[in-house]
Amino acid sequence: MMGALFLKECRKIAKSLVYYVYLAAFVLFITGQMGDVDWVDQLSEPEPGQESYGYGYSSDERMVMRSGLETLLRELMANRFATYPFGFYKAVTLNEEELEVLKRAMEQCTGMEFEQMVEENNAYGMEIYRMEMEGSGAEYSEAEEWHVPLREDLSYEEFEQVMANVCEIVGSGSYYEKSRYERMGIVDLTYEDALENYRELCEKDKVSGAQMRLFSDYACIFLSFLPIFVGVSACLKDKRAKASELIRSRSVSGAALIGCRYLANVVMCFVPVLLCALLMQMPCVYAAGQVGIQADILAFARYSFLWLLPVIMVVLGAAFFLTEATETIAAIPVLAAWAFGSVLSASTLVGDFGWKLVTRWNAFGGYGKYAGELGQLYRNKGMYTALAATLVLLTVAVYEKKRQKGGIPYGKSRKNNP
Amino acid sequence: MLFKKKEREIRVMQTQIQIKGLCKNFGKKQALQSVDLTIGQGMFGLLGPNGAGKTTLMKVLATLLPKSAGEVSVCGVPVEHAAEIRKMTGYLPQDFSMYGNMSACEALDYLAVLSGIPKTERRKKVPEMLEKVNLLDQKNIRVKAMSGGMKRRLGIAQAIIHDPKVIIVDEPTAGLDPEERVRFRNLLCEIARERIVLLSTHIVGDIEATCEEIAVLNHGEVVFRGTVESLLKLVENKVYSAEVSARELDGLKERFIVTGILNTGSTATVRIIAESMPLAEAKPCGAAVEDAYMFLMHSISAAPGQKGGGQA
Repeated sequence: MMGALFLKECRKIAKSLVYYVYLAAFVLFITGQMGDVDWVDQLSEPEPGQESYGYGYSSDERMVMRSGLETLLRELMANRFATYPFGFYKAVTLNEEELEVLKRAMEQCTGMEFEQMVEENNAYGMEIYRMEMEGSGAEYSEAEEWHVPLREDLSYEEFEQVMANVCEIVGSGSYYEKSRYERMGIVDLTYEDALENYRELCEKDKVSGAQMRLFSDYACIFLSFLPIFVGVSACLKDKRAKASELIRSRSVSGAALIGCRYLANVVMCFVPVLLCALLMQMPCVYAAGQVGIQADILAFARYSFLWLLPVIMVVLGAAFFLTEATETIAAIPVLAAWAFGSVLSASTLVGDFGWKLVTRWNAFGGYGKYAGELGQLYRNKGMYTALAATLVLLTVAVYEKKRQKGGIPYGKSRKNNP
Repeated sequence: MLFKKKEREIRVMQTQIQIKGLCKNFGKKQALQSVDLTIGQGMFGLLGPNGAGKTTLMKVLATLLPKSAGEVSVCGVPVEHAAEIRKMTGYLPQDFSMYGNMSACEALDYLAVLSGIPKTERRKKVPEMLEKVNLLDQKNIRVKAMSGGMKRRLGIAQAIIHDPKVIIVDEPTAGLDPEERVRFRNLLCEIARERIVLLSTHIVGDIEATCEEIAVLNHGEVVFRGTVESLLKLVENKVYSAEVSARELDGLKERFIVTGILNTGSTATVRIIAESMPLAEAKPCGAAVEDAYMFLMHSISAAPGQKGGGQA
C-alpha cells in the first residue's frame, strides 16, 4: 500500500506546475553557474618557469598576523570598521574608550607605541604617494601598503586571543573573526604549491570530485530555497482542492500519508539534481580521460547524497511542518529568510561549514583543506538529516492532531473545541 | 439457546449506530445537545433546517470532529477508536471535491489506496464502482471538468469502494437537477440494501422517496425520531386545500401554516395545515411529509423546548 501511495504522490507532483517551475529554475541556474567555470585549464600539469601559478592563502602564521594587524591599524586610524552581519555591510564607529582598548591591543602585538605606529605609517604612506607621482612603478609595486612590525615573541595563540577581544568590541562579521583573518594572507603560489594542488586534484579529487564540490556549492544555494515552494504546494493541495476532509476520513494513517508525501517530494526534488550532476560530470570525466587522468565516475552521487540530499530533506521537512501547522504559506517567508540568512552570513565561500544550512565550496580543488573540514561537514549534514526526520515526525503529529480536532490545532479550532 | 441469543445481540450491535447523550460545543454555541439515536441497517434520513446540526453529527460519526460529551459507537466500536471507524465507514461530504487535474478513474484509485485496498482488488473494484455509478464511459474526464451530478456520483463511488458497513452522506442532492436527483436517490437505495446509509438533507422529498426511518434535528436537538408514517400521523386530518382570493393570502399566512400556494389569476389554491376546518370552503386532503415537517417545525417554534411526536 505504501509503495502504491508513494508512486501516486510522485505522479501528483509530476502533474504540478510548481514542480516544473522548480525544474526549469534549477536547470537554468546550475547550467548558468557551472558554464562559467574554467576547469579545463587546470587539467594540465604546472611546469617550472611559468609566469604565474595563481594565488592562494598563506598558512604562514607570521603573515596571517601581519595582515590582520595591518587591517586593524587601517580601520583604527579611520575609526570605521567594516562588519557584515548576515552578509550586509555595516560600518561601525567606536567611542574613545573602545578605541583605546584596540590601540592597546595593537601595541601588545607590535611592541610599539600606537602614536609612533601611526606617524610611521603616515610617513610611509606619503613615501608611497611620492613614488606613485614620480612614476617609480617598480619600487611602488614592491612596496607594501602598510608597515606594521610584529613583536618578535608574539605567539599565534596570543594573537588569536587579541583578535577575539577586538572582534567582541567591533562586532560579529568583522575582519577579526578567525575565519576571516585566516584568509587575509594572500600569496602567489610557487611551482611546488601549484604542483601539489595539481596532484591533489588528480589523485585525491580525481578531477570530478573537485567539479562536483563546486556543483554542490551552487546547487546548495538553490536547494536551500526553491524546494520550499514544492513542499508548500504539496501540503496545501488538499486544502486548495477542498479535499482535506475527504482525505482525513480515509483509513490511511497520518504517518503513512505524510511519510509517503514527504518521501515523494524528496525523491522528486532530488532525482533531477542527481541527473544534472551526472550530466555535468560527464564532460569532466571525458576531459580528464583525454589527459590520462582516471576520474571518479561516482563523485556525482557521493557529493549529491552527502551535500545536497540533507538540504532538500530539511527544507522540505520544515516546509511540511510549517504548512501543516498553519495551513498557510507562512513557510515561504520563514524558510526564505533562513536560506538567505545562511547564504549571506557565510564568512568565507570555501569551507567553514559549521552548522550553516548552505555549505559553501566556491572553488575548484582544495582537497587538502576539504579533507580537513570533512568531519565538520559530516556533522553538519548528519544534524540536518536528523532535524529533517524530527520535522517529519512533528508534521505527522500535527496532522493527526488536526484529524482529531477537526482543523488546525490552535486558533479558531481550539476556540471551537473547548 | 443463551449462546444463540447473545450471538444475535452481537450481530444486531454490529449493524447499528448508537448515540447516547451526544453533545458537541463550538465555543459557547451548542451544535448538538444530548442527541440520542439508534440507527439500524437501511436508509436513515436526517432532516432539519440549515444549521440544525446535521453536518456536525455526521462529522462526529465520520471521526472528523471530536464529541464534547456522550457516547457514540458505530457497529459496536466507540468513535474514539477513529482508525477502526474509518475502515468501516464511507463518507461523502457536503461539497465533495478532489484534485481537479485527476481523472475520475485516478481520483477513485487514489482514494482506494488511502483506504488500504490492495492493487489487485483496486484493478477490479475501480471500474466496477465507476460502472455502478454510471461513470465508466467518463472515467477519463478530469474532476474539474465534471458536472455537479457526476461529481456526486464519483463521491458515492469513493464512499463505497472499500465496502464499508456504514455510509454517511451529507446533503448529496443539493444543487442537482431533478433527473440526477432521482438517479442519485435510487443509487443510494440500492446501496442501502446491505448496509447503513445515513442520509442528511434539508430536502424533504429525498427523505420521502428513500427513507423509512428518520430523525428531525433542530438547533442541535432531535425533535422527532420515527418512521415516515409516524411523522405523517402528526398531520393526519389536519391538511386542507382551499381556493381563496389573493387579498386573503396574507391573513391566512398569519393564522395558519400555509405549505403551498398556486396562483390562478385573482384567486389562489392554498394548502393549509390546521387543527380544524380553517375555512368553510376548505376541503380535507392527503398529507405529505413536507406538511408534517412544516407542522413539526412550526409546533417547535411556537412552543420552544418541546419535542415532537413519533418515537423521539
